[in-house]
Amino acid sequence: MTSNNQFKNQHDSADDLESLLTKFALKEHSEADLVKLSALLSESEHARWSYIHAVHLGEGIKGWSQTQGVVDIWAVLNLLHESDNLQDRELASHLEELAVDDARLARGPRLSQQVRAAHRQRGVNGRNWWQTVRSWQKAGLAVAATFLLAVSFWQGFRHEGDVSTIDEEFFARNDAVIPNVEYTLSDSENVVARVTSITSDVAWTHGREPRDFLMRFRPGDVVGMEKGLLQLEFSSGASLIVESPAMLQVTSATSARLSRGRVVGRADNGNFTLLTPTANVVDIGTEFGVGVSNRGTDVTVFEGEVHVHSLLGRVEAGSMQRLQTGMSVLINPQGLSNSHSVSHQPHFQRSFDRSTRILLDENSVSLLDLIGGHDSTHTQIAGSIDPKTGYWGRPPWMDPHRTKAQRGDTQFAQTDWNSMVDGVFIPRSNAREMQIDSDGHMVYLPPNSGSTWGPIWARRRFDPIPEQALFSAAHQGYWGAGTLSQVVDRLQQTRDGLMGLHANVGITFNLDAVRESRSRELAYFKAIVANLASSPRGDDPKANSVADVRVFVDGKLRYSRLQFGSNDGDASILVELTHEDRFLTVVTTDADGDPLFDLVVLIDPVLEYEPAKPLPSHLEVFL
Amino acid sequence: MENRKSESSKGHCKTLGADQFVKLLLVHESRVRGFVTSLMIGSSDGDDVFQSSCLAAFRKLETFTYTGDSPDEEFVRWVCTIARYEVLQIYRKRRTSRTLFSSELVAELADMQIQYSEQLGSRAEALAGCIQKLSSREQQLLRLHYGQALPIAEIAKRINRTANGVYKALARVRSRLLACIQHKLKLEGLSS
Repeated sequence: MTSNNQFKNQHDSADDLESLLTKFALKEHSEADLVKLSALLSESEHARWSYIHAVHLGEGIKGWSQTQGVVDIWAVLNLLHESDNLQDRELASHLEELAVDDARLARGPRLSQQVRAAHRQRGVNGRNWWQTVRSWQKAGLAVAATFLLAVSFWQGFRHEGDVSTIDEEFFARNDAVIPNVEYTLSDSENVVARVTSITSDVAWTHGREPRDFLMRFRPGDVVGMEKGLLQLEFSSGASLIVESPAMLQVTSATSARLSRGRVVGRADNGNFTLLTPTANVVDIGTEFGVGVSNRGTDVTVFEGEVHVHSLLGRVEAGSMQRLQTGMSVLINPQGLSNSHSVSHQPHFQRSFDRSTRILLDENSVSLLDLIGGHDSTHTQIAGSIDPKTGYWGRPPWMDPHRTKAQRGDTQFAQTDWNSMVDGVFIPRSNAREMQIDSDGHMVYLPPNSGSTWGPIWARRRFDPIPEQALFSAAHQGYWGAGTLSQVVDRLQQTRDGLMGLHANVGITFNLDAVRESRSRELAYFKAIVANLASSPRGDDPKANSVADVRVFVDGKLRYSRLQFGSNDGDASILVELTHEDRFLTVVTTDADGDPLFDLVVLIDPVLEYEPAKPLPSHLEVFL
Repeated sequence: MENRKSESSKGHCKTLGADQFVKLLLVHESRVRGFVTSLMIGSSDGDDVFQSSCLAAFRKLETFTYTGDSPDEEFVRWVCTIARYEVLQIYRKRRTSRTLFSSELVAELADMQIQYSEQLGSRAEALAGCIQKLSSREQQLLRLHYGQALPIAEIAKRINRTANGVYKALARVRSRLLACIQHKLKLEGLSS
């Protein structure tokens, strides 16, 4: 025997042994294999040790397995799928035989390259989220060239407190007087404004609390405050800081009505209209302050130009005054105007810098803020995403007084309003593979009903939580709008707030974009997961339904919690992130084929950065 | 037995109470099972032998003494020695069977494991760390096959995959674990 032959025989023997040991380990051996193994073990000490190690490995795995919980069979499916595509071409043919969607498989790599390129581009030139929100406003709303403030004074304004009377009379008159001002009340499906900041001392006017759990406003919604300060952001880009006591009605994306209180408005595009109870209309550009009190309406221009139209009174009715930076005017209840300097005007709160504002954690990004519609540098009170389309802020249901399940269309919907939110989806009902990120990663998810309830939402905690604003019996089951008492209760127990993922939704975050936002590497995804499942009808057997949660990173399962209900309590999610990880996906599915009452929430979800590296000592001198 | 004082001294030798016996058996069950399985390959009597070995060890508990700081390694060796006897008893009863190893091979395998019990203990510890390094999906696959004792064909049926695919996936995970254990032991200077 030559040395080459000897080597070949040894090699073959090692292969035989390994192959045999695997067969035994997996209980796939035959009687002939046993004879063969016996011979090999008798001949070689190395073979005996390999055999002993293989057996002990199996028993060790078995011992470990028996200490674990429920097996996620769908995770296994995903593992095999990954093996099929990446490691085992031979097995890919089996997949085809099993009628796996060939077209989808074939599309994967091409999609991946295209999307990756597009995504990187987007990461650099991330589109402002409002740009998208604005796009769905353009069709129905005229945009004025300047900021328009319509001020009308209601003659009986001194009768404060009778809010509904004020509104009805005031609005009825102004609707007739200002025909060119558009505030389309019929467009009630669209959210046109939202609360972005709020002070902790806010006290709502009874009956005028924000009805929406996520603090969003549709045309016609009224908010009243007796105490505190809030900031409203309109989808047109305008913002208002509202100082109490105040009563404000949102009328469109570019207009609102102030019947009492003070506001500071800013509209860089100069396209906003504010109405007050006096019969005056004021056009305004950039930043202005308006105060409505018993003495009339004070208008102050901090920057830009304001046009004030008088709609009430004797002399100036119908006329217009132009106010420039630093000018102000008082329109009294008789419709008479008196110009005076800014120094005589009431103090306006021009920035939202109360100490009660939520502080941003410099070492982490809250997913609540990303879902809230902003980047990683600002906190957001609330926000929501339609899991089917990826649209921000728009309610995914048709009837605001009735909940409806929403069926998925089996597609991954990429979002374009925030570069850190990659996209959303409703898992396929038939357990076929599904794309879960814009890089084209495909996973298998378990069979489910294929439908979900309401939006993916986020809501930050702030104290005190206005009870009426959060919980309304008329909106029981109205996931993410009016809401359920257990959601409110749980919100009060959080550090940051809640993210709502009703069963059968998925959302993917772009980790690269999150890194780029602060030029820091990510270390962990952390959250607590719970199912707040409960039926408003206490005797409903589905009240304790169960759901599954899985966390994927680039299509690989990193965490799962299965078949858990409200009685199973909380569980911590800790997913370690590497520098190469690009997409983090959180998916919920109904574990029992029924999405009813599967109220899954992530508590205080954050992407945590690696600790900041200290500056080199020679640079510290510059600080 | 229950009232027996734990770790009472017999000179330098220490003994175990029943509660410690149970605790140690639970901790090292996999190692003892590994020992028995390695000698009983191809037989369905592994569980019975494991149980009879444990019972025999419990009956002889008063005879067990250890001298080290911890009883673990000596305990495993002692139980395995008892199990070796139990296995050989089975072999004697089924001398004609061709599905089992020869008595000589069984004795050789048993001696190796008893002699190098501590090394196998290190491997078991390394395995625990290596399993944690597996992806969640790989862990799930192991749990399905080992924890729920599902045959490969059954797993394949449940997830609508080929048995070949499941087999290869499991083989890959096992191979990764073996490599990981070897790597860990090498780092700790325990590699053979």
